[in-house]
Amino acid sequence: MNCDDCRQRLQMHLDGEECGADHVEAHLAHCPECRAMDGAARRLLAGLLSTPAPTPPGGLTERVVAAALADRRQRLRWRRRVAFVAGGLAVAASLLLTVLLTGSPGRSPKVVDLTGPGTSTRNQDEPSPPSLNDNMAEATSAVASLARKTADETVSNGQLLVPSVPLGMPAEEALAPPLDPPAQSLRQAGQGVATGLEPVATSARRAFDLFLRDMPPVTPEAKSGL
Amino acid sequence: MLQHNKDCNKDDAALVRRCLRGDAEAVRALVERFQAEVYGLCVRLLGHRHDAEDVSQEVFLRVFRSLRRWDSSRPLRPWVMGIAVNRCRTWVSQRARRPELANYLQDTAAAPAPDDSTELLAEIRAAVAALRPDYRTVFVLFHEHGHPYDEIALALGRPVGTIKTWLHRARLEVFDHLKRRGMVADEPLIDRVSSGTPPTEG
Repeated sequence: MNCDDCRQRLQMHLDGEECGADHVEAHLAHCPECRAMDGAARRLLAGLLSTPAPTPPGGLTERVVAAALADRRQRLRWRRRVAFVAGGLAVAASLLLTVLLTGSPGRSPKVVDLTGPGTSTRNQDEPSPPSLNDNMAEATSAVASLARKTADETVSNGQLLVPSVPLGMPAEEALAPPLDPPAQSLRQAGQGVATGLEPVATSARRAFDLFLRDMPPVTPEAKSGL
Repeated sequence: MLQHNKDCNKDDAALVRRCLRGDAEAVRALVERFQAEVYGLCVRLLGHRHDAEDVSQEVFLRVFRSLRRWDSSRPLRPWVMGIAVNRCRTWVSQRARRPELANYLQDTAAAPAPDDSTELLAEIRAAVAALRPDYRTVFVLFHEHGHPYDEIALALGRPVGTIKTWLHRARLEVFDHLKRRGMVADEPLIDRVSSGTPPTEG
């Protein structure tokens, strides 16, 4: 056995494998280098055996468990927020896509001519496909007529409650001095007020939309509780 | 042995499933199962008890965050120890802090030795601390934590042959250090033979 074999067997012994101790002992008897290495190995093993394992400080388990559970809760909250924002973005994207596909005001959807350049591209009698703008115009006129009808009914009902005015009107001279002529017509004044209130109305609409968006969903249990 | 490993994997998988459901008792059980090993490894690799405590906590946070990525066909222990080794490496590289021998020796202060074992232990610690990080990790996992080669290979993501080579080189460096520091008596052969000292079991 040479020194390399001896050192290899020494490593095997430290690995916990069978190494043929008799042959090693025979080599160590006449090789001071390998004998010194063998002595160092014995000292190392003796030192390691006398080494107590570090004991974790008291309370470490509780701290680690508390930190792990808190971290889990925080990650769950974060995931919910991300899902909420992603859902909102998806809805917004789908709305935007719908608007783009149905066409913007003053722009009709493009029709691809599949019949070739020499033929008629489109039958003029054929009804055009319904667009979002037409639907919106119809809905607007319907709402306007309904509002007008409701206003008329309200006025007629109010007239029943107001005491009848005597037919004999005082002479024009008995009234207060005449007012100055109006600087602008009532229609113009109304338009001015509407223009002035438009930002307020827009802000109010946005605030109402945000309020509706932040409202928690109504569960069946909550409904039955009501 | 193979059946035992399969049973361990099954237990580990059940424990991990409960942890993923947010079961606080399962979280505690997992921490208690690996806490001593993780903390001990951190003390050995960082050489500082307070750092080891902080890093141990970080290790478990990362373990719980990554539990979904654990391959249930493999044992859990090497996977946890691999995370611990990586956290220790990161900590050392961030802080560029050398292991503090005096602090480490607090672990042995409670057991006074009648001979030179305290000095021997200090020299062994110094030798291990001087090893390059890969060698030191393998040395600590094998000799102080009793992990077999295949588990160390799994934990470090290296082939078993590489782990073996690193450990053998680490031992040679430790032997050289002990010899240089005069910790190896030039024992006369005649005494060895006559005393019939049996080889120390590892």
